[in-house]
Amino acid sequence: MRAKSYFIIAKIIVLTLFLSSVFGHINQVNADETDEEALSISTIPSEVLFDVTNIKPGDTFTRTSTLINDGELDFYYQTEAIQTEGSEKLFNQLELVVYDSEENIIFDGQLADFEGFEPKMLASGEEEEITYLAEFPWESGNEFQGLETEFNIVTWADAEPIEPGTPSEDAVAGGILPQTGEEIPYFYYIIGGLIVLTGVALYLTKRKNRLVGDE
Amino acid sequence: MRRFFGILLVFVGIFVILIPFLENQYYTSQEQDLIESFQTLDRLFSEEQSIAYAEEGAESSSNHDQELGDDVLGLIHIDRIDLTLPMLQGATDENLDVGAGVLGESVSFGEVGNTGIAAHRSRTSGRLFNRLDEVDIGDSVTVETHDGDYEYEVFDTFIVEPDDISVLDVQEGESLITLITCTIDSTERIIVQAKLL
Repeated sequence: MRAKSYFIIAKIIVLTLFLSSVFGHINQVNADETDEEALSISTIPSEVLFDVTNIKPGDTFTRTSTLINDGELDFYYQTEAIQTEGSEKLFNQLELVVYDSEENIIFDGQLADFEGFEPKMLASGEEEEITYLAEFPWESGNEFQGLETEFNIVTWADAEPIEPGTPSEDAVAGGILPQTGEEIPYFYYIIGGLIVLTGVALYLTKRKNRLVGDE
Repeated sequence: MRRFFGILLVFVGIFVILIPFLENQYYTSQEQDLIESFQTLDRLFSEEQSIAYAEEGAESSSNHDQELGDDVLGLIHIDRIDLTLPMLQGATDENLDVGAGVLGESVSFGEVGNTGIAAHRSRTSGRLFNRLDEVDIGDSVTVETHDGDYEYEVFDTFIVEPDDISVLDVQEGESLITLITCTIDSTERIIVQAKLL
């Protein structure tokens, strides 16, 4: 367990961030440029699907992403969750249910295990709504306080059916380079400073009272 | 009594202010443990004692080192900034606290490919990739694994936006490593690329 989680006494601050990235996974399509251009997938919204803070055990969040085949070829698509940074422990704790546009459940399980669903095809010019319902389980304990995690939901298309768990070569970094900055721990400085000031105030109040009593 | 409570609060407040420092000390100690456990395991392999190691006596005495060492993919050495870091699989928060995270699922040191290695721009001078910006073209970077040591030479250093994953593109016929850390304000990424000699 991380030492950090022992010390944070404030409310749960959990940041989850879904980013939906789009990759034209064209390796198995005929190699001429015309065909590469003919395979095209886009998603709406194109970037942030989930951006949630201050969640509590039991909270659920639903977001919908629309996949559009705006190319000339029919394609199969697949998605998966890739953690990009933050607490692996919290990432493993979150649960996910995925629905297709007919509200059939196409995935139900741990977010960390989400490597896609049965290969689905999208014809040229068609679109499909995929709904992601994320849940921070009720039984989650205090050990998740103060943890943050970030992950991408990556979507890619291919001319051939893509089995769940087949990694996209382009998805290695999940569309964004890791966050490697270290934040200045203002939280500790402010809380610590306030406690010191309170202590000094208490100490001085007593002294002042005594001086008044001496007069 | 109130005076005593005031003094107690002052000490508690000072302790809270010191928590980030203590935490940093703890992670530094963990980092050293990982390096030492990797080196211990590596020494056992290189001395061809793996058979003896599997025997009961040796196993019980070195279990802790083995567990820690198993998590470490290797060590990265950058002489220019006097740095040795353990490399762990994945750039997760836990891994980046104590070492460098290797991106992607397949690591290919010494083979054609481009392996991304990310570490924090620590606030402590010299820790993690705090001094990565001092690395220059021509500097050497050594990756030490159980399979052997790989010597790389830096051929490019630059700054990119966080979403510029083209830095991880494979260049035909080249075996590359791409070192990644944040700029001081965390808005961009410092990139150091090196190729296998």
